[in-house]
Amino acid sequence: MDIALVRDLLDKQLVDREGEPLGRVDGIVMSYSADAPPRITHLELGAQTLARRLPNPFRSILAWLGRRLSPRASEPYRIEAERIIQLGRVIKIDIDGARSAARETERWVRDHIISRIPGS
Amino acid sequence: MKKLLEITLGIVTSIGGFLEVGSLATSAQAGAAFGFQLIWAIVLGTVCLIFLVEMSGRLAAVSKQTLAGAMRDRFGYPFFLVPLVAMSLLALLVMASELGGVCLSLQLVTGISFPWWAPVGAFAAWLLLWKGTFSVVEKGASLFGLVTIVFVIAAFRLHPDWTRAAHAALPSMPRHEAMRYWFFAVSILGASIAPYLLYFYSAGAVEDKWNETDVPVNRITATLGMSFGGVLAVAVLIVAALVFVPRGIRIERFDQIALMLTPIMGRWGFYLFAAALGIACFGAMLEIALSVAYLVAQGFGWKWSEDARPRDAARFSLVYTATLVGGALIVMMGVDPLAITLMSMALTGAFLPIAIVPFLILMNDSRFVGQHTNGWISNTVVCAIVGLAFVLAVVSIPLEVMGS
Repeated sequence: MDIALVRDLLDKQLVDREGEPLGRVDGIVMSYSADAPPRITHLELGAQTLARRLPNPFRSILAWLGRRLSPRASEPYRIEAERIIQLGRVIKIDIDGARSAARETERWVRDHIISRIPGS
Repeated sequence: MKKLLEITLGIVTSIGGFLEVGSLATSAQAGAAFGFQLIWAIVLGTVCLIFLVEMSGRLAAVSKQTLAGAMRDRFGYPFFLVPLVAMSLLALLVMASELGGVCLSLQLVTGISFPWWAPVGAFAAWLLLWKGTFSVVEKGASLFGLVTIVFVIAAFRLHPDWTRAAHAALPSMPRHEAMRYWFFAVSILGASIAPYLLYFYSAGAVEDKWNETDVPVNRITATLGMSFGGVLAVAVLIVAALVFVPRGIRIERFDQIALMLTPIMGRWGFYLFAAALGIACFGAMLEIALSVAYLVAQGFGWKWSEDARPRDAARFSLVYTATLVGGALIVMMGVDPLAITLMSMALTGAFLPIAIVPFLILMNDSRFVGQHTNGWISNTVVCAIVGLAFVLAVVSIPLEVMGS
Protein backbone atom coordinates (compact mmCIF):
# COMPACT_ATOMS: atom_id res chain seq x y z
CA MET A 1 0.00 0.00 0.00
CA ASP A 2 1.36 3.39 -1.02
CA ILE A 3 1.29 6.02 1.66
CA ALA A 4 1.99 9.70 1.13
CA LEU A 5 3.27 11.07 4.43
CA VAL A 6 1.67 14.47 4.27
CA ARG A 7 -1.48 13.40 2.46
CA ASP A 8 -2.29 10.21 4.37
CA LEU A 9 -0.62 10.59 7.77
CA LEU A 10 0.06 14.16 8.82
CA ASP A 11 -2.86 16.01 10.46
CA LYS A 12 -5.15 12.95 10.35
CA GLN A 13 -7.50 12.17 13.22
CA LEU A 14 -6.16 9.56 15.69
CA VAL A 15 -8.48 7.24 17.56
CA ASP A 16 -7.81 4.61 20.21
CA ARG A 17 -8.85 0.93 20.23
CA GLU A 18 -12.45 1.91 21.07
CA GLY A 19 -12.60 4.50 18.28
CA GLU A 20 -12.49 7.43 20.72
CA PRO A 21 -10.50 10.50 19.59
CA LEU A 22 -6.92 10.90 20.79
CA GLY A 23 -5.92 14.00 18.86
CA ARG A 24 -4.40 14.51 15.44
CA VAL A 25 -1.04 13.51 13.96
CA ASP A 26 0.88 16.69 14.74
CA GLY A 27 4.23 15.35 13.58
CA ILE A 28 5.94 12.30 12.08
CA VAL A 29 9.26 10.92 13.37
CA MET A 30 11.57 9.00 11.05
CA SER A 31 14.87 7.31 11.57
CA TYR A 32 17.74 7.09 9.14
CA SER A 33 20.69 4.79 9.24
CA ALA A 34 23.49 4.11 6.81
CA ASP A 35 22.52 0.54 5.87
CA ALA A 36 18.71 0.71 5.85
CA PRO A 37 16.10 2.81 4.09
CA PRO A 38 14.45 5.61 6.14
CA ARG A 39 11.65 4.33 8.34
CA ILE A 40 8.73 5.92 10.19
CA THR A 41 9.19 5.18 13.86
CA HIS A 42 6.66 7.37 15.67
CA LEU A 43 3.68 9.65 15.33
CA GLU A 44 4.00 12.76 17.46
CA LEU A 45 1.32 14.75 19.30
CA GLY A 46 1.52 17.87 21.37
CA ALA A 47 1.65 21.61 21.58
CA GLN A 48 5.44 21.72 21.16
CA THR A 49 5.25 19.75 17.93
CA LEU A 50 2.55 22.09 16.67
CA ALA A 51 4.59 25.14 17.64
CA ARG A 52 7.60 23.84 15.70
CA ARG A 53 5.56 23.67 12.51
CA LEU A 54 4.90 27.41 12.49
CA PRO A 55 7.13 30.07 10.99
CA ASN A 56 8.93 32.46 13.33
CA PRO A 57 8.15 34.56 15.34
CA PHE A 58 5.07 32.45 16.18
CA ARG A 59 7.22 29.39 16.75
CA SER A 60 9.43 30.95 19.44
CA ILE A 61 6.54 32.71 21.15
CA LEU A 62 4.41 29.57 21.34
CA ALA A 63 7.31 27.39 22.42
CA TRP A 64 8.14 29.83 25.23
CA LEU A 65 4.50 30.07 26.26
CA GLY A 66 4.19 26.29 26.26
CA ARG A 67 7.22 25.87 28.53
CA ARG A 68 5.90 28.49 30.95
CA LEU A 69 2.37 27.13 31.07
CA SER A 70 3.03 23.45 31.50
CA PRO A 71 6.61 22.31 31.90
CA ARG A 72 5.45 18.69 32.12
CA ALA A 73 3.53 18.67 28.85
CA SER A 74 6.32 20.39 26.95
CA GLU A 75 7.69 17.06 25.77
CA PRO A 76 5.74 15.80 22.76
CA TYR A 77 3.88 12.54 23.13
CA ARG A 78 5.04 9.75 20.81
CA ILE A 79 3.17 6.73 19.54
CA GLU A 80 5.17 3.84 18.05
CA ALA A 81 4.35 3.32 14.39
CA GLU A 82 3.88 -0.41 15.07
CA ARG A 83 0.74 0.41 17.03
CA ILE A 84 -1.10 1.67 13.95
CA ILE A 85 -3.87 -0.86 13.30
CA GLN A 86 -5.86 0.96 10.64
CA LEU A 87 -5.10 3.71 8.12
CA GLY A 88 -7.80 5.71 6.43
CA ARG A 89 -9.97 8.70 7.13
CA VAL A 90 -9.02 8.16 10.76
CA ILE A 91 -5.95 6.37 12.04
CA LYS A 92 -6.63 3.70 14.63
CA ILE A 93 -4.02 3.07 17.30
CA ASP A 94 -3.77 0.01 19.49
CA ILE A 95 -3.71 1.76 22.86
CA ASP A 96 -6.02 2.32 25.81
CA GLY A 97 -6.99 5.94 25.35
CA ALA A 98 -8.41 6.37 28.84
CA ARG A 99 -4.94 6.04 30.35
CA SER A 100 -2.87 7.38 27.48
CA ALA A 101 -0.74 10.51 27.90
CA ALA A 102 -2.32 11.78 24.66
CA ARG A 103 -5.38 12.67 26.72
CA GLU A 104 -3.51 14.31 29.58
CA THR A 105 -4.73 17.84 28.79
CA GLU A 106 -8.30 16.61 28.30
CA ARG A 107 -8.15 14.90 31.71
CA TRP A 108 -6.63 17.98 33.31
CA VAL A 109 -9.38 20.26 31.96
CA ARG A 110 -12.00 17.73 33.04
CA ASP A 111 -10.68 17.29 36.59
CA HIS A 112 -9.66 20.86 37.34
CA ILE A 113 -12.32 22.91 35.53
CA ILE A 114 -15.32 21.07 34.08
CA SER A 115 -15.95 18.67 36.98
CA ARG A 116 -16.06 21.55 39.42
CA ILE A 117 -19.03 23.09 37.64
CA PRO A 118 -22.35 21.60 38.83
CA GLY A 119 -24.23 19.41 36.39
CA SER A 120 -21.19 18.32 34.41
CA MET B 1 -41.95 9.99 5.51
CA LYS B 2 -38.78 10.25 7.55
CA LYS B 3 -37.17 12.21 4.70
CA LEU B 4 -40.14 14.56 4.57
CA LEU B 5 -39.76 15.19 8.27
CA GLU B 6 -36.06 15.92 7.75
CA ILE B 7 -36.86 18.51 5.08
CA THR B 8 -39.40 20.23 7.28
CA LEU B 9 -36.89 20.24 10.07
CA GLY B 10 -34.23 21.76 7.84
CA ILE B 11 -36.55 24.55 6.80
CA VAL B 12 -37.51 25.24 10.35
CA THR B 13 -33.81 25.18 11.28
CA SER B 14 -32.97 27.97 8.89
CA ILE B 15 -35.83 30.12 10.13
CA GLY B 16 -34.20 29.95 13.52
CA GLY B 17 -30.70 30.20 12.14
CA PHE B 18 -30.88 32.70 9.33
CA LEU B 19 -32.67 35.70 10.74
CA GLU B 20 -30.62 36.96 13.66
CA VAL B 21 -29.52 40.35 14.83
CA GLY B 22 -27.12 40.76 11.91
CA SER B 23 -29.72 40.27 9.19
CA LEU B 24 -32.32 42.16 11.19
CA ALA B 25 -30.19 45.22 11.87
CA THR B 26 -28.58 45.44 8.44
CA SER B 27 -31.85 44.88 6.56
CA ALA B 28 -33.73 47.38 8.72
CA GLN B 29 -31.04 50.03 8.39
CA ALA B 30 -30.74 49.50 4.66
CA GLY B 31 -34.50 49.76 4.25
CA ALA B 32 -34.68 52.94 6.31
CA ALA B 33 -31.83 54.60 4.43
CA PHE B 34 -32.33 53.41 0.84
CA GLY B 35 -35.89 52.10 0.58
CA PHE B 36 -36.18 48.88 -1.43
CA GLN B 37 -32.95 49.54 -3.34
CA LEU B 38 -30.71 47.06 -1.46
CA ILE B 39 -32.96 44.01 -1.80
CA TRP B 40 -30.46 42.67 -4.34
CA ALA B 41 -27.81 42.31 -1.61
CA ILE B 42 -30.11 40.01 0.38
CA VAL B 43 -30.89 38.01 -2.78
CA LEU B 44 -27.19 37.58 -3.64
CA GLY B 45 -26.32 36.66 -0.05
CA THR B 46 -29.12 34.11 0.11
CA VAL B 47 -28.17 32.49 -3.21
CA CYS B 48 -24.55 32.21 -2.04
CA LEU B 49 -25.61 30.77 1.31
CA ILE B 50 -27.84 28.16 -0.36
CA PHE B 51 -24.85 26.88 -2.35
CA LEU B 52 -22.52 26.93 0.66
CA VAL B 53 -24.89 25.23 3.09
CA GLU B 54 -25.65 22.56 0.49
CA MET B 55 -21.89 22.01 0.09
CA SER B 56 -21.18 21.70 3.80
CA GLY B 57 -24.00 19.16 4.16
CA ARG B 58 -22.73 17.23 1.12
CA LEU B 59 -19.17 17.22 2.48
CA ALA B 60 -20.39 15.80 5.81
CA ALA B 61 -22.71 13.24 4.21
CA VAL B 62 -20.13 11.87 1.74
CA SER B 63 -16.84 12.15 3.62
CA LYS B 64 -18.26 11.73 7.17
CA GLN B 65 -15.94 14.61 8.00
CA THR B 66 -16.88 17.96 9.38
CA LEU B 67 -15.79 21.12 7.62
CA ALA B 68 -13.23 22.00 10.31
CA GLY B 69 -11.74 18.50 10.36
CA ALA B 70 -11.54 18.31 6.57
CA MET B 71 -9.82 21.73 6.43
CA ARG B 72 -7.02 20.62 8.72
CA ASP B 73 -6.79 17.28 6.91
CA ARG B 74 -6.47 18.82 3.50
CA PHE B 75 -4.45 21.97 4.12
CA GLY B 76 -2.41 21.03 7.16
CA TYR B 77 -2.08 22.63 10.54
CA PRO B 78 -0.22 25.89 9.78
CA PHE B 79 -2.73 26.94 7.14
CA PHE B 80 -5.67 25.79 9.25
CA LEU B 81 -4.66 28.29 11.95
CA VAL B 82 -5.57 31.22 9.67
CA PRO B 83 -9.32 30.50 9.40
CA LEU B 84 -9.28 29.20 12.98
CA VAL B 85 -7.98 32.46 14.44
CA ALA B 86 -9.94 34.72 12.08
CA MET B 87 -13.23 32.88 12.61
CA SER B 88 -12.82 32.69 16.39
CA LEU B 89 -12.18 36.42 16.76
CA LEU B 90 -15.02 37.25 14.42
CA ALA B 91 -17.31 34.85 16.27
CA LEU B 92 -16.61 36.73 19.52
CA LEU B 93 -17.75 39.98 17.91
CA VAL B 94 -20.83 38.36 16.40
CA MET B 95 -21.56 36.68 19.73
CA ALA B 96 -21.45 40.11 21.37
CA SER B 97 -23.92 41.51 18.86
CA GLU B 98 -26.32 38.56 19.24
CA LEU B 99 -26.16 38.87 23.02
CA GLY B 100 -26.73 42.59 22.57
CA GLY B 101 -29.90 41.67 20.67
CA VAL B 102 -31.08 39.39 23.47
CA CYS B 103 -30.37 42.11 26.04
CA LEU B 104 -32.19 44.74 24.01
CA SER B 105 -35.23 42.48 23.69
CA LEU B 106 -35.29 41.98 27.47
CA GLN B 107 -34.83 45.71 27.99
CA LEU B 108 -37.79 46.45 25.72
CA VAL B 109 -40.03 44.16 27.73
CA THR B 110 -38.81 44.97 31.24
CA GLY B 111 -37.40 48.49 31.00
CA ILE B 112 -34.22 47.42 32.80
CA SER B 113 -31.23 48.74 30.88
CA PHE B 114 -29.39 46.30 28.79
CA PRO B 115 -25.79 45.72 29.89
CA TRP B 116 -27.29 44.21 33.04
CA TRP B 117 -28.95 41.52 30.97
CA ALA B 118 -25.67 40.31 29.41
CA PRO B 119 -24.71 37.87 32.20
CA VAL B 120 -28.31 36.60 32.37
CA GLY B 121 -28.54 35.96 28.63
CA ALA B 122 -25.10 34.37 28.43
CA PHE B 123 -25.83 32.17 31.46
CA ALA B 124 -29.15 30.99 30.03
CA ALA B 125 -27.48 30.04 26.73
CA TRP B 126 -24.66 28.30 28.57
CA LEU B 127 -27.09 26.33 30.74
CA LEU B 128 -28.95 25.10 27.68
CA LEU B 129 -25.70 23.92 26.06
CA TRP B 130 -24.44 22.42 29.32
CA LYS B 131 -27.58 20.38 30.03
CA GLY B 132 -29.21 20.07 26.59
CA THR B 133 -28.54 17.81 23.61
CA PHE B 134 -27.97 18.76 19.98
CA SER B 135 -31.56 18.02 19.04
CA VAL B 136 -32.90 20.16 21.91
CA VAL B 137 -30.78 23.08 20.67
CA GLU B 138 -31.72 22.50 17.03
CA LYS B 139 -35.46 21.98 17.46
CA GLY B 140 -35.92 24.46 20.29
CA ALA B 141 -34.22 27.31 18.45
CA SER B 142 -36.10 26.49 15.27
CA LEU B 143 -39.60 26.13 16.68
CA PHE B 144 -39.41 29.27 18.76
CA GLY B 145 -37.75 30.99 15.80
CA LEU B 146 -41.02 30.65 13.89
CA VAL B 147 -42.14 33.85 15.61
CA THR B 148 -39.92 35.76 13.13
CA ILE B 149 -42.59 35.06 10.47
CA VAL B 150 -44.30 38.09 11.99
CA PHE B 151 -42.12 40.23 9.68
CA VAL B 152 -43.57 38.54 6.59
CA ILE B 153 -47.10 39.13 7.87
CA ALA B 154 -46.25 42.77 8.57
CA ALA B 155 -44.79 43.22 5.08
CA PHE B 156 -48.00 41.86 3.49
CA ARG B 157 -50.22 44.06 5.63
CA LEU B 158 -48.40 47.14 4.35
CA HIS B 159 -49.36 46.25 0.74
CA PRO B 160 -45.97 47.14 -0.74
CA ASP B 161 -45.48 47.83 -4.45
CA TRP B 162 -44.29 44.34 -5.38
CA THR B 163 -43.10 45.32 -8.88
CA ARG B 164 -40.80 47.90 -7.38
CA ALA B 165 -39.54 45.33 -4.88
CA ALA B 166 -38.91 42.84 -7.69
CA HIS B 167 -36.95 45.48 -9.63
CA ALA B 168 -34.75 46.08 -6.59
CA ALA B 169 -33.72 42.42 -6.68
CA LEU B 170 -31.32 43.47 -9.44
CA PRO B 171 -28.29 45.53 -8.36
CA SER B 172 -28.41 49.25 -9.07
CA MET B 173 -26.09 52.21 -8.46
CA PRO B 174 -26.78 54.43 -5.43
CA ARG B 175 -28.47 57.78 -5.99
CA HIS B 176 -27.07 59.35 -2.83
CA GLU B 177 -24.54 58.54 -0.04
CA ALA B 178 -22.61 56.12 -2.23
CA MET B 179 -20.15 54.97 0.48
CA ARG B 180 -22.90 54.26 3.01
CA TYR B 181 -24.79 52.32 0.34
CA TRP B 182 -21.88 50.01 -0.39
CA PHE B 183 -21.10 49.60 3.31
CA PHE B 184 -24.70 48.47 3.90
CA ALA B 185 -24.45 46.16 0.90
CA VAL B 186 -21.38 44.40 2.30
CA SER B 187 -22.90 44.28 5.80
CA ILE B 188 -25.96 42.54 4.37
CA LEU B 189 -23.79 40.08 2.45
CA GLY B 190 -21.73 39.38 5.58
CA ALA B 191 -24.88 38.95 7.66
CA SER B 192 -26.39 36.50 5.16
CA ILE B 193 -23.26 34.45 4.41
CA ALA B 194 -22.38 33.62 8.01
CA PRO B 195 -19.42 31.21 7.93
CA TYR B 196 -20.22 29.92 11.42
CA LEU B 197 -23.46 28.49 10.02
CA LEU B 198 -21.40 26.18 7.77
CA TYR B 199 -19.35 24.73 10.63
CA PHE B 200 -22.57 24.29 12.60
CA TYR B 201 -24.44 22.64 9.75
CA SER B 202 -21.68 20.18 8.84
CA ALA B 203 -21.11 19.20 12.47
CA GLY B 204 -24.87 18.73 12.85
CA ALA B 205 -24.94 16.47 9.79
CA VAL B 206 -22.14 14.33 11.25
CA GLU B 207 -23.83 14.36 14.67
CA ASP B 208 -27.04 13.17 12.96
CA LYS B 209 -25.01 10.46 11.07
CA TRP B 210 -25.87 11.46 7.50
CA ASN B 211 -24.62 9.33 4.59
CA GLU B 212 -24.62 9.50 0.79
CA THR B 213 -28.36 8.83 0.55
CA ASP B 214 -28.94 12.15 2.30
CA VAL B 215 -27.38 14.16 -0.56
CA PRO B 216 -30.67 14.86 -2.43
CA VAL B 217 -32.55 15.67 0.77
CA ASN B 218 -29.73 17.98 1.79
CA ARG B 219 -30.11 19.84 -1.49
CA ILE B 220 -33.82 20.45 -0.93
CA THR B 221 -33.30 21.41 2.70
CA ALA B 222 -30.59 23.94 1.91
CA THR B 223 -32.55 25.52 -0.95
CA LEU B 224 -35.95 25.78 0.73
CA GLY B 225 -34.58 26.56 4.17
CA MET B 226 -32.18 29.32 3.21
CA SER B 227 -34.66 30.82 0.73
CA PHE B 228 -37.13 31.10 3.54
CA GLY B 229 -34.53 32.87 5.65
CA GLY B 230 -33.90 35.23 2.74
CA VAL B 231 -37.63 35.96 2.47
CA LEU B 232 -37.65 36.92 6.14
CA ALA B 233 -34.74 39.33 5.65
CA VAL B 234 -36.42 40.89 2.59
CA ALA B 235 -39.62 41.28 4.63
CA VAL B 236 -37.68 43.17 7.34
CA LEU B 237 -36.19 45.46 4.70
CA ILE B 238 -39.59 46.13 3.11
CA VAL B 239 -41.24 46.88 6.45
CA ALA B 240 -38.38 49.20 7.44
CA ALA B 241 -38.57 50.99 4.09
CA LEU B 242 -42.32 51.54 4.32
CA VAL B 243 -42.33 52.48 8.00
CA PHE B 244 -39.21 54.62 8.35
CA VAL B 245 -38.69 56.31 4.96
CA PRO B 246 -42.05 58.21 4.83
CA ARG B 247 -41.50 59.40 8.41
CA GLY B 248 -37.97 60.55 7.60
CA ILE B 249 -36.48 58.44 10.39
CA ARG B 250 -32.78 57.54 10.12
CA ILE B 251 -31.79 54.63 12.29
CA GLU B 252 -28.93 55.48 14.58
CA ARG B 253 -29.81 53.40 17.61
CA PHE B 254 -31.06 49.89 18.10
CA ASP B 255 -34.22 50.84 19.97
CA GLN B 256 -35.43 52.77 16.91
CA ILE B 257 -35.57 49.49 14.97
CA ALA B 258 -37.72 48.10 17.78
CA LEU B 259 -40.58 50.38 16.77
CA MET B 260 -40.81 49.08 13.21
CA LEU B 261 -43.84 46.84 13.84
CA THR B 262 -45.72 49.25 16.11
CA PRO B 263 -47.38 51.33 13.34
CA ILE B 264 -48.73 48.11 11.80
CA MET B 265 -49.68 46.01 14.81
CA GLY B 266 -49.81 48.49 17.66
CA ARG B 267 -48.78 47.35 21.10
CA TRP B 268 -48.72 43.74 19.94
CA GLY B 269 -46.22 44.72 17.28
CA PHE B 270 -43.90 46.03 19.94
CA TYR B 271 -44.01 42.80 21.95
CA LEU B 272 -43.81 40.58 18.88
CA PHE B 273 -40.71 42.47 17.75
CA ALA B 274 -39.12 42.00 21.17
CA ALA B 275 -39.97 38.29 21.10
CA ALA B 276 -38.71 37.79 17.54
CA LEU B 277 -35.48 39.66 18.27
CA GLY B 278 -34.81 37.90 21.57
CA ILE B 279 -35.53 34.40 20.34
CA ALA B 280 -33.71 34.74 17.02
CA CYS B 281 -30.61 36.18 18.72
CA PHE B 282 -30.69 33.58 21.48
CA GLY B 283 -30.79 30.81 18.88
CA ALA B 284 -27.87 32.42 17.04
CA MET B 285 -25.88 32.61 20.31
CA LEU B 286 -26.26 28.85 20.76
CA GLU B 287 -25.18 28.21 17.17
CA ILE B 288 -22.15 30.51 17.39
CA ALA B 289 -20.92 29.10 20.70
CA LEU B 290 -21.22 25.57 19.34
CA SER B 291 -19.60 26.51 16.02
CA VAL B 292 -16.47 27.82 17.72
CA ALA B 293 -16.31 24.71 19.90
CA TYR B 294 -16.74 22.47 16.84
CA LEU B 295 -14.08 24.37 14.90
CA VAL B 296 -11.46 24.17 17.65
CA ALA B 297 -12.21 20.64 18.88
CA GLN B 298 -12.44 19.10 15.41
CA GLY B 299 -9.36 20.95 14.22
CA PHE B 300 -7.28 19.59 17.09
CA GLY B 301 -8.88 16.16 17.10
CA TRP B 302 -10.46 16.42 20.54
CA LYS B 303 -13.62 14.62 21.52
CA TRP B 304 -16.61 16.74 20.51
CA SER B 305 -20.33 16.21 20.83
CA GLU B 306 -23.15 18.35 22.10
CA ASP B 307 -24.88 15.10 23.09
CA ALA B 308 -22.07 13.99 25.41
CA ARG B 309 -21.99 15.10 29.02
CA PRO B 310 -19.65 18.09 29.51
CA ARG B 311 -17.16 15.99 31.52
CA ASP B 312 -16.91 13.54 28.61
CA ALA B 313 -15.98 16.28 26.14
CA ALA B 314 -14.17 18.59 28.54
CA ARG B 315 -12.16 20.81 26.21
CA PHE B 316 -15.10 21.12 23.79
CA SER B 317 -17.34 22.31 26.64
CA LEU B 318 -14.61 24.67 27.84
CA VAL B 319 -14.46 26.35 24.43
CA TYR B 320 -18.19 27.12 24.17
CA THR B 321 -18.19 28.32 27.77
CA ALA B 322 -15.28 30.67 27.07
CA THR B 323 -16.94 31.97 23.90
CA LEU B 324 -20.11 32.88 25.82
CA VAL B 325 -18.11 34.52 28.62
CA GLY B 326 -16.08 36.51 26.07
CA GLY B 327 -19.22 37.74 24.33
CA ALA B 328 -20.77 38.75 27.64
CA LEU B 329 -17.65 40.72 28.63
CA ILE B 330 -17.73 42.71 25.39
CA VAL B 331 -21.40 43.61 25.91
CA MET B 332 -20.80 44.56 29.55
CA MET B 333 -18.05 46.96 28.48
CA GLY B 334 -20.95 48.96 27.09
CA VAL B 335 -20.07 49.17 23.41
CA ASP B 336 -22.80 50.40 21.08
CA PRO B 337 -24.59 47.20 19.97
CA LEU B 338 -25.72 48.59 16.62
CA ALA B 339 -22.21 49.72 15.71
CA ILE B 340 -20.66 46.40 16.71
CA THR B 341 -23.28 44.50 14.73
CA LEU B 342 -22.76 46.47 11.53
CA MET B 343 -19.00 46.33 11.85
CA SER B 344 -18.84 42.60 12.60
CA MET B 345 -21.08 41.87 9.60
CA ALA B 346 -18.89 43.98 7.30
CA LEU B 347 -15.73 42.34 8.69
CA THR B 348 -17.33 38.95 7.98
CA GLY B 349 -17.56 40.11 4.37
CA ALA B 350 -13.85 40.91 4.38
CA PHE B 351 -12.96 37.53 5.90
CA LEU B 352 -15.16 35.50 3.55
CA PRO B 353 -12.40 34.55 1.09
CA ILE B 354 -10.31 33.04 3.92
CA ALA B 355 -13.23 30.89 5.00
CA ILE B 356 -14.72 30.06 1.62
CA VAL B 357 -11.85 29.54 -0.87
CA PRO B 358 -10.30 26.56 0.99
CA PHE B 359 -13.82 25.17 1.37
CA LEU B 360 -14.33 25.35 -2.41
CA ILE B 361 -11.03 23.53 -2.98
CA LEU B 362 -12.25 20.75 -0.66
CA MET B 363 -15.54 20.51 -2.53
CA ASN B 364 -13.64 19.96 -5.80
CA ASP B 365 -11.39 17.26 -4.34
CA SER B 366 -12.67 13.76 -5.06
CA ARG B 367 -10.69 12.35 -2.14
CA PHE B 368 -13.23 14.08 0.11
CA VAL B 369 -16.49 14.14 -1.81
CA GLY B 370 -15.94 11.23 -4.24
CA GLN B 371 -18.16 11.60 -7.29
CA HIS B 372 -20.13 14.37 -5.58
CA THR B 373 -17.70 17.17 -6.48
CA ASN B 374 -19.01 20.67 -7.23
CA GLY B 375 -20.30 21.57 -10.66
CA TRP B 376 -19.06 24.68 -12.46
CA ILE B 377 -22.22 26.62 -11.63
CA SER B 378 -21.80 26.44 -7.87
CA ASN B 379 -18.06 27.18 -8.12
CA THR B 380 -18.65 30.24 -10.28
CA VAL B 381 -21.58 31.64 -8.32
CA VAL B 382 -19.88 31.31 -4.95
CA CYS B 383 -16.57 32.75 -6.22
CA ALA B 384 -18.32 35.72 -7.80
CA ILE B 385 -20.40 36.62 -4.74
CA VAL B 386 -17.56 36.11 -2.27
CA GLY B 387 -15.29 38.16 -4.51
CA LEU B 388 -17.85 40.96 -4.65
CA ALA B 389 -18.28 40.93 -0.85
CA PHE B 390 -14.51 41.08 -0.38
CA VAL B 391 -14.01 44.00 -2.76
CA LEU B 392 -16.90 45.94 -1.21
CA ALA B 393 -15.56 45.26 2.28
CA VAL B 394 -12.03 46.36 1.50
CA VAL B 395 -13.26 49.57 -0.10
CA SER B 396 -16.05 50.53 2.29
CA ILE B 397 -14.84 49.51 5.76
CA PRO B 398 -11.92 51.99 5.98
CA LEU B 399 -14.16 54.81 4.73
CA GLU B 400 -16.90 53.90 7.21
CA VAL B 401 -14.38 53.82 10.08
CA MET B 402 -12.94 57.18 9.08
CA GLY B 403 -16.41 58.65 8.62
CA SER B 404 -17.71 57.70 12.08
